[in-house]
Amino acid sequence: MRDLHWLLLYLLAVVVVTLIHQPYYLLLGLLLVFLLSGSLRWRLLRKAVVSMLLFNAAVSIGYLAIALMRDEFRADYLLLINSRVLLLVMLGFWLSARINIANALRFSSTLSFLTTLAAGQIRLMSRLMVDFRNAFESRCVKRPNWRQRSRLALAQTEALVEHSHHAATEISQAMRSRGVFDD
Amino acid sequence: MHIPDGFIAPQCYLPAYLVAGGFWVWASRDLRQRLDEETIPRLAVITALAYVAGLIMLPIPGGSSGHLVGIGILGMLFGIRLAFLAYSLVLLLQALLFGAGGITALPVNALAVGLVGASVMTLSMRWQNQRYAVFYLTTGAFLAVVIPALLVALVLGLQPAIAHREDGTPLFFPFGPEVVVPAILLPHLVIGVVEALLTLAVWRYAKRRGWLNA
Repeated sequence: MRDLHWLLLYLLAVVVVTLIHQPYYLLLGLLLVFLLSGSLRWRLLRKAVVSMLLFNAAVSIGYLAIALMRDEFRADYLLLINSRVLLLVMLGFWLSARINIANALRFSSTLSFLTTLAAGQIRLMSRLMVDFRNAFESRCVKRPNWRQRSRLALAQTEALVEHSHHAATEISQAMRSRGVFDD
Repeated sequence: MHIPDGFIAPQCYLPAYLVAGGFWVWASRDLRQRLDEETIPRLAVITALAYVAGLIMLPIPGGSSGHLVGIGILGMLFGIRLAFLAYSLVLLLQALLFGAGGITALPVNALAVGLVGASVMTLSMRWQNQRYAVFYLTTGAFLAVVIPALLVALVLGLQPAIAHREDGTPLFFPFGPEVVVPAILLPHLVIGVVEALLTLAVWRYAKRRGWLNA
C-alpha cells in the first residue's frame, strides 16, 4: 500500500475512534494497533504513554477530585478518555514510524517540498537550541536566576530569527543552483 | 497552550476543519500566485521557526517556566497569512512527523493560536503609532497569547455540553468553562507578560537589522 493510502486510512481511523464511546472497543483497537506495530510495539507504546501522561494525569486527577466532591464519579469515563487518547497517540506514532510523510504528501508537490524543507530546518534549529542550552548549563555553577534565564531565552530567540533569515536565502540559492525552479 | 488529541468531540472538530479550510484557502491564495524561489524556502523556514520557538523555555517569576508560544513574533515579522500557514504546518508536522499534538485538535489550535493570535499581533502593529509604539507592541504580544488561550479554554470548556451521555457523563473533555478558563488563563497571563517583553526585545533587534518590512 502506498504512503498516501496509509495516511488516508489513518485519518479515517482517527474519526472512527472519536465516534466510539465504548471503552472496551477502544481497548480492543489499542490491542490491534499494538499487535500490528510488530517489533516497534513496545517502543511505540512507551512513547505514547510518556507523551500523554502529563496532560491525561492532570485531567484524570482533576475529574476524580471534582466528580467525587459532586458525587458524580464514573470509572468508565476515566477508562474511556484514557483509552481513546492512548489509542489516538499510538496510531499517530505508528503512522509516523510506518510511512514517509513527504511521500504521502506527494499529491501536492508544494506541500511535499515544504514538509521536507521544514522538517530539515526543524532538526537544524532544534540542534541549535540544544547547543545553546548545553553551553548555558556548562557556564552556570549555581542554579541560574530569573534574569540569566531571561537572557538565555532572548539570546535563543534572536539566534533563531537570525538563522531563519539566512537559511531562507541559502535554501533559495541552493534550490536555484540545482535547477529546481527551471520550467 | 494547544489542545492534545482526543479531547475534542467530532461535532466540534469536523466543523472546525471546514472553517479552518476556508482560512487556509484565503491565506494561501496570494501565495499560490507567487510560490517561487523565495516564498517556499521562506515559508518552510518560518514553519521551522514556529516549531522550535515552542522549545524555548520562558522563565516565570517564582522559579517555574512555560514555553514560548511565538505567534506574536511570527505575526510581527511575517504578517497574518504567513504566520497562520506556518503555525498550521507546524501542527501538521507535529501530528504526522513527530507524533505529537493531534489531528483532531489541529483545526481548533490553528484557528485559535495561528489565526487569532497572529491577527491580534498584526493589527496592533498596524495601529501602532510612533509615540506609543512600545505600548501597542507589548499589548499586542500579550493579547496574542491571552486571547488564544481564552478561546482554547472556551472550546475545551464547551465539550461536556456538546458531547455527553444521557446521564450527563462527559464523552470528551470533562470540565466546563468555570473550571477550565481560570486553569488555562491564569498561567497564560504570566506567560503573556514574559512573551511581550521577549517580543519587544526581538522587535528592537529586528528594527536594528531592518527586517520589519521584510
